[in-house]
Amino acid sequence: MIRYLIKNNFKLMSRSFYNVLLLIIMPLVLIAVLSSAFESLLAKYDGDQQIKAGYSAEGDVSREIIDALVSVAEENSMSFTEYPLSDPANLIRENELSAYIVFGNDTYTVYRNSDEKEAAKAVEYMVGTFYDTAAAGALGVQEDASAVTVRQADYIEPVDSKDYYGIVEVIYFGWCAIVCGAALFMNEKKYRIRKKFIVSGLSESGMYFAKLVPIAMVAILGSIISAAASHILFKVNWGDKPLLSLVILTLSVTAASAFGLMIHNLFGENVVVTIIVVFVIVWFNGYFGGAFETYMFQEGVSLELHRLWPIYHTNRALVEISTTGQSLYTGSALIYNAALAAGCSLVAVISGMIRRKVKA
Amino acid sequence: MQTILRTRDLTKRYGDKIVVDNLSIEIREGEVFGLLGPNGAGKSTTMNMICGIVNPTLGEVEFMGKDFKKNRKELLKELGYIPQELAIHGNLKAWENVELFTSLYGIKGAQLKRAVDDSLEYVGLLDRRGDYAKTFSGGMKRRLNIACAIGHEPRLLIFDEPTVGIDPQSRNFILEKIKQSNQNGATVIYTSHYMEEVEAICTRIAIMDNGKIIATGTSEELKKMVVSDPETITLEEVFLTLTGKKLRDV
Ligand SMILES: Nc1ncnc2c1ncn2[C@@H]1O[C@H](COP(=O)(O)OP(=O)(O)O)[C@@H](O)[C@H]1O
Ligand SMILES: [Mg+2]
Repeated sequence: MIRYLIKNNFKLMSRSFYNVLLLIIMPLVLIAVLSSAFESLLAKYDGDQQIKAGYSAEGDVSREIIDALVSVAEENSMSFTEYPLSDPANLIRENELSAYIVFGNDTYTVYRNSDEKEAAKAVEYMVGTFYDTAAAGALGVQEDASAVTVRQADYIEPVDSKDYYGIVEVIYFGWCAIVCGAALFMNEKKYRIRKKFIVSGLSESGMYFAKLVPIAMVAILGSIISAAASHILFKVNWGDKPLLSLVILTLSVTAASAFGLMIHNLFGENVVVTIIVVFVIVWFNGYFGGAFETYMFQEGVSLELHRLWPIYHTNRALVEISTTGQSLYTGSALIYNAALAAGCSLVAVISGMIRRKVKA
Repeated sequence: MQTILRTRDLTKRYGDKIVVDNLSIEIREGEVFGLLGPNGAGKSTTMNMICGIVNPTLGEVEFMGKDFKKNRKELLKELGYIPQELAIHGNLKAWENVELFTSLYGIKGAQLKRAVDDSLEYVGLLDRRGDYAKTFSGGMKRRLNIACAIGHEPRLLIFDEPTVGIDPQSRNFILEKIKQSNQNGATVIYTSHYMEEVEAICTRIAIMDNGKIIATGTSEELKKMVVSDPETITLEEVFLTLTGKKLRDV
């Protein structure tokens, strides 16, 4: 019967309310700081100015795909002009292009104008997203089809810096969910509660879920409050699919809580080490997921590296849902976070069982 | 009397150090069994092995005729363990502590509510039920520690030095309560290094030193091991004669 244990763990957590407050206030502070700091960066991308790009086709690359891409680019305030294959550097200089793309059979190469980094990145991001979408069939582009239908062209609608950082910081701090558990961990340790759990026959999974449930619930509640506050205080737009966004947010925080608890178990329930390790890993998660620098314009980070981190999927899904109401990353965000929550829980429980055997 | 708990060759080694050495004891249903020994004798380690907190290096524990290891979950329900070191949540109120630990035995709802109040009343803390445990005095914490282990009405109660470092009133109260629990049907194991306590409440006593039981019997029997007339010697003198007078600094 871990119902009462969960209830009392809730009480212990609420009695050190500062931890929970941190989860609500910190993202708001960061939204205010980062959204103004990066306002100019995202402004360049928000479509007021026309971006000029050139392209060439190599081999027997499908014209349908290129045409579809060009029309999508136009709707996103990018003008694409075809040039015969030539030296990218010269071409970019002579025609004052932000970027130059060479389409091959299965690949494409983007050359960026180093004087116009943001615009070039925007082109690269647009082309990358286009190919993702085309691959998923969501655009309705079929290589052999005679008619090309573009069902959805506005998928890289510019995102306001406030919206971007509003969404991304709430997610980032949701990843710090484990701070809500710190009070719980410290109480259990200080008052030597574990041995009482063992003599009462409580299983490792009982011990684990009695912590996961309140930590995740408090962190989810904190994240929802901070998301609502971001909307009220900064007019952050979360899009018109609040239920879907809520599900993604909830899963992300649950994964984060399970991850933190796993680290806590793996590091012998040492609270300080847990917090440090979790924060370091979460920082990388945020770094590669676009929590500090927008993922669209981040230099030197490949798409594969981005995709390695769960927060990238969550961020992209939520940011794209906020602008266009849909995202190719919805599925991967849901699956990645759910799998992470399940996997971390399993590892946490097993490591607890091993420790009980070895340490006693 | 029936045997309720038996250990066979129970041994615990930490590295080269043998803390509990081939211990075989038998506790009979209905008795108050005293485990008397100086600091560091291995009393707590023995109790922790009986409860499954510490894994024995060797040996086994049989409880109510069943192998403890194989029937752990079921047997733990019949066991109440009051650890030497307090194990109560300072940031929970008295009743919340009792509720939390009693609920772990599967007790819920109205039955749980009743068990919480009964346990608190039993240790004389019912009027302080709403106070945080961290605000309690040493004696009150000890009593709360007991309340947290009796709500599921176990058949065997293990008290590990429950009177260390508390005022005489609390100490007397606890000893009275242990006697009362025993009269209500519970078997009790009581560890202590205070002779007079053990003599006052235990029906049978084992003296433990350096991980071994060196003598077992009633207080009379133990005295007779040292002198022929038990009236001429205190248990303390028996204890010192049997365990030696060397200082124990653990
Ligand atoms: N985890 C441990 N590692 C090493 N030595 C231990 C450990 N636990 C207890 N001991 C040692 O075992 C001996 C017996 O301890 P303990 O059972 O607590 O004695 P008692 O309860 O009789 O005072 C002591 O010398 C103590 O230092
Ligand atoms: Mg001890």
